[in-house]
Amino acid sequence: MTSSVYKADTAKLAQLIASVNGKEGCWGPEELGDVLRHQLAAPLEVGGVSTVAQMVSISPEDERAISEIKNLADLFGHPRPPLALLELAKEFAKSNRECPHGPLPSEVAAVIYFAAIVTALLRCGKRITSLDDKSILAGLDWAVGQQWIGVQMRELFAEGHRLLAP
Amino acid sequence: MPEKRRSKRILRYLSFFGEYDWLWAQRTLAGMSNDGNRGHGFVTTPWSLVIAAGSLDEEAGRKALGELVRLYKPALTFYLRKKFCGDDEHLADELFSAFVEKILVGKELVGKAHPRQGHQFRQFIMTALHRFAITELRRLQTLKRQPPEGIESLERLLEYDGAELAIIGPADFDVAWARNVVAEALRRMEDDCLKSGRAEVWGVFEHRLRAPILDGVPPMPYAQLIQRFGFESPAQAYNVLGVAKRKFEQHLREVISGYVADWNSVDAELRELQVILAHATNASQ
Repeated sequence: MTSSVYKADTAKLAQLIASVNGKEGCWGPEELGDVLRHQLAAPLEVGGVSTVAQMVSISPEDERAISEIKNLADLFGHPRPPLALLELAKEFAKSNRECPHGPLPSEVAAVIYFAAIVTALLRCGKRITSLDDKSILAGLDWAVGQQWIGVQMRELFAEGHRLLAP
Repeated sequence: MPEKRRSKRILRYLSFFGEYDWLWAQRTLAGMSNDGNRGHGFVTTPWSLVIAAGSLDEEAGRKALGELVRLYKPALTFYLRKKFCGDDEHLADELFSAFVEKILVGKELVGKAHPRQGHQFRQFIMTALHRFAITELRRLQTLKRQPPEGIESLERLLEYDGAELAIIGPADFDVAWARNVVAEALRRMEDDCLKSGRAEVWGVFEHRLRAPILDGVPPMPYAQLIQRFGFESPAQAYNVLGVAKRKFEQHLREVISGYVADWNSVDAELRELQVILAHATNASQ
């Protein structure tokens, strides 16, 4: 490992030093699908139903749902997801989209953002965004145009498109 | 409670999606403070001892300078090899050992060792080494030992001594020194990560930064990375990448702090080494 330093191109050594302040090493466009799949499968550490109940008023049905939902994939696939969790998911995605140095690539954050909005519309009949239908549809069109979003997201967005399309 | 405030509290409490994983954040912070990030509370360094050698025990100063010089053996022997030894590594090693010996037993060098900034120290060491090499080679010649192959220019060097120094080597020496600093920082970082049980930090750095940049290999794919190191979320993987970058920078600074006098000089030297490398021609050692 050390010997490569003595053989390396000096510009590359300068690049290695500079990398500590740059985006080097971060996930590239070809890895967006893997990052999204990982995020959808990442455990939601909701800390138990009683904890959530202390923070927001939830119905017994929501309590059951929360105990069943282990990750975002579960949340977006649940027949009756708790609206509070969808709002949290949307806010989480939004904060990542707006933060250039956030842990999620902005494209992945955008997919989660629209997934939360569409799931709320489809499963809860609620709008959790101030975006109008046209803007949501534009977002869905963009998302389905991405090759890496996977089957679950593609089907969800197609369903959302059918609901909102004039 | 207003809705927004309540949402924020929920976000904070739920450790949602990893980004709000406070436990992880705390561990990360604890890791940094435990494994050597001393912030800007500059710790006593060997070089600090050398600088203060005028008022400290001379033996301690000599030992400190000797240790420091040993750390830069690759850069110093590179200079000796190219300048005096016709690429003869064995002769360069011999000269280097004699140089260290002179530092350890003599008072002359440590007594002059007062430069406080990186470039001053590099200049000081190179000049001292150069003069020592000439003196030593002259001594060998006097002893009628056949000068080794490749030092045909010895007479010329002996004749022009310091004047020659200005036109050969300082830039090459600086590049060799910069390589030495980076190599030492990487060595310390790997050692630190493995000893502190943070192999994943070194692993992410190695597979996403060091090897791709220096060796030109493709970065380890994200899916393979998370499988290999068991990251639960993209946020966790991202945090480890951030920790790895900070740790490398921290080790670079610590290595440099071994021969400069204060944190301002560390920053200046780090920038200067970066510029030296960026503008160098690409002779490898």
